[in-house]
Amino acid sequence: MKVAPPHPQEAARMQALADAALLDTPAEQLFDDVVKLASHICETPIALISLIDDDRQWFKARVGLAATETPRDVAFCAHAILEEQLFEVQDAFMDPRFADNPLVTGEPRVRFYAGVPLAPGGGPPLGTLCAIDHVPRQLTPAQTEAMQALARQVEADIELRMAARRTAAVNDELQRAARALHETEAKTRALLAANPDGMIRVARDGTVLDRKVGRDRAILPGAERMIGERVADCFPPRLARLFMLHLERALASGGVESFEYEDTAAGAHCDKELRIVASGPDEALALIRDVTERKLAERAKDEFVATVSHELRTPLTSIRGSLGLLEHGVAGPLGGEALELVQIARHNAERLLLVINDILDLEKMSSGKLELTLRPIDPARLVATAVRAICGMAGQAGVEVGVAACVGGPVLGDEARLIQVLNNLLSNAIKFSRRGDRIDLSVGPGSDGRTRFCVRDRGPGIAPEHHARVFGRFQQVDASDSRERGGTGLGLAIVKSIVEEHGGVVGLDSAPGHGSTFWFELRAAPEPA
Amino acid sequence: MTASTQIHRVLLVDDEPDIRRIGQLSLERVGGWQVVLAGSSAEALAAAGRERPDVILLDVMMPVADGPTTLARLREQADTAEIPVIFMTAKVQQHEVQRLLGLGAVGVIPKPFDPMTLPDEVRRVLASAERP
Repeated sequence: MKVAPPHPQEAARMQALADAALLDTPAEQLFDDVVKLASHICETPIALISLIDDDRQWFKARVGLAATETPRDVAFCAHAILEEQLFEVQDAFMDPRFADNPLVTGEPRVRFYAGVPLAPGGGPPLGTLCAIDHVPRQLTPAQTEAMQALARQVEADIELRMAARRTAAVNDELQRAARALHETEAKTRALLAANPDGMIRVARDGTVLDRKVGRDRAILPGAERMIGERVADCFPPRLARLFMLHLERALASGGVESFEYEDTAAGAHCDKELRIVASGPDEALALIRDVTERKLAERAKDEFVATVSHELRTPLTSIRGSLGLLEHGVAGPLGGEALELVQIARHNAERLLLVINDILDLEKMSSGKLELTLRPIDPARLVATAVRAICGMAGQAGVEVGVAACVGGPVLGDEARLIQVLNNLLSNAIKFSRRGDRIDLSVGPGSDGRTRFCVRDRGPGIAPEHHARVFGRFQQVDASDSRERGGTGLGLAIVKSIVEEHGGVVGLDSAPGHGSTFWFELRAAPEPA
Repeated sequence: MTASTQIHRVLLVDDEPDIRRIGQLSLERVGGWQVVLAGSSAEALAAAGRERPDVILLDVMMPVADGPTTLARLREQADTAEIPVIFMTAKVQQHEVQRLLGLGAVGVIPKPFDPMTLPDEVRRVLASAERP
């Protein structure tokens, strides 16, 4: 006996069989009628619609046979599906492939077999329509033709079922997607409803596509008639210009662009914030929020800071002034320990003043009130000015400050603030240097086309686990540093704030025993037109 | 320094008595000038008219009438209109300094001032104000 080899496209065939979903389903009139017709036409006692599964053949319809399935190894149909057309075994006894087949030697005693492969939609064959007899014989051309015609009917029906199943699957998928979309929409609506901001969805050209009145109608006055209008028609000219400018920026950057403006609501002054974020390639969402209360709080805080500043500086002016006059003998000569004590007091008054100045500076920076006057600055001049300014302190500490290298064109910055940055870094480096050490200032190319300024000392260095916090406020690595080395513990926090306000970055390369290199990078000034 | 910046008499206006005293010691002993003191805007206006100082050092934050108000009143009186005024302030933000200069002061000296260098600072401000 010869076992039929697997179909050349067996995997695809098994998939198609699964897609047809016919295996182990109840009998159906259509298929039953087809096998009855086949049996009549071919004049055979047995006719079957057989589906070839992995290791069996299973009969979807059958006449003249009680069995519902047989092993695939002995199935004539396993051979038939390897053929393009009708597969006919006229006498199984005479055919070495089947002579000793148990279906031939035993029940159902097959002598004659004729099977047409069933390949719906031109795909791989799923099984056969076959006719079987217990005696040898041969189909007439008319019988062959009729079998092929019946097989085409079965194929057409299976194909229809498969198409219907695919459609149903697509439908399911669509329904799932629609449900998901609906849920997302509901969530978005809930989010929008919960958000107190007024909102405008706007096209690139400034046409209002949609809008939502905020918690308070005053947030977006005239919202009723906005849809379809231009931004320029909905807002006062200055606000409309700002809106369009930030819309353009938001669409270009993909980020959030925001600005604050003053408005009147029912005759009363109010502050508003408008944020725009791109919501598609050619449209954006603008959120308008009433920030009057926040601005009031900010103004109250500014006033408080100004008052504190004045109230601290006024007594300090008297203390520092009195001590200065005493120390210089303006009120008569001081001797020995008295002079020493006055000097200690004056030194600490200076230190207190530095802390107050630094805290006020940081407060200004953190509230975005740092006023930067950006101009192109020659790095060489900046570095030279900073070195000149620090030479007194360096001389006292016996530390040499030099410029190691200076390569690069003008950077964009506020000169006074950048000198403050370099001064803070240099005085920091001096504090951590020993007498006779050298500090190198250098300028060179940084990342992303920026210019990098480095201050390198030969001090004790900083362990990597402390790198992240040295730029924090009052963060001296060793608590005793503040006492031993002076300084407010705010210098590096100020450096970071100023540099970041410039759109630059700060960093540190250091390891214990290898000194520290503090650096910052600034954008290059644009080429003069 | 030109002849017109020769200083003989300075009017120091501040509502804080301690600061008046320290300023006086600084301007007299370190600067070698004659010092007239005023503790309020009204005292300042009276002293300016009576004493004709060569320069007025004027505190910005004072109760009742502040520095800018005092400056405006000095400018309204013919006999004090031409006296150079230098503001002294603890508010040293750039925009604040610009605002004070815009009111017609010849300079701004930040507080706290150093009494040992204050007279030099006053001379420097007057000299730079006279440069064309």
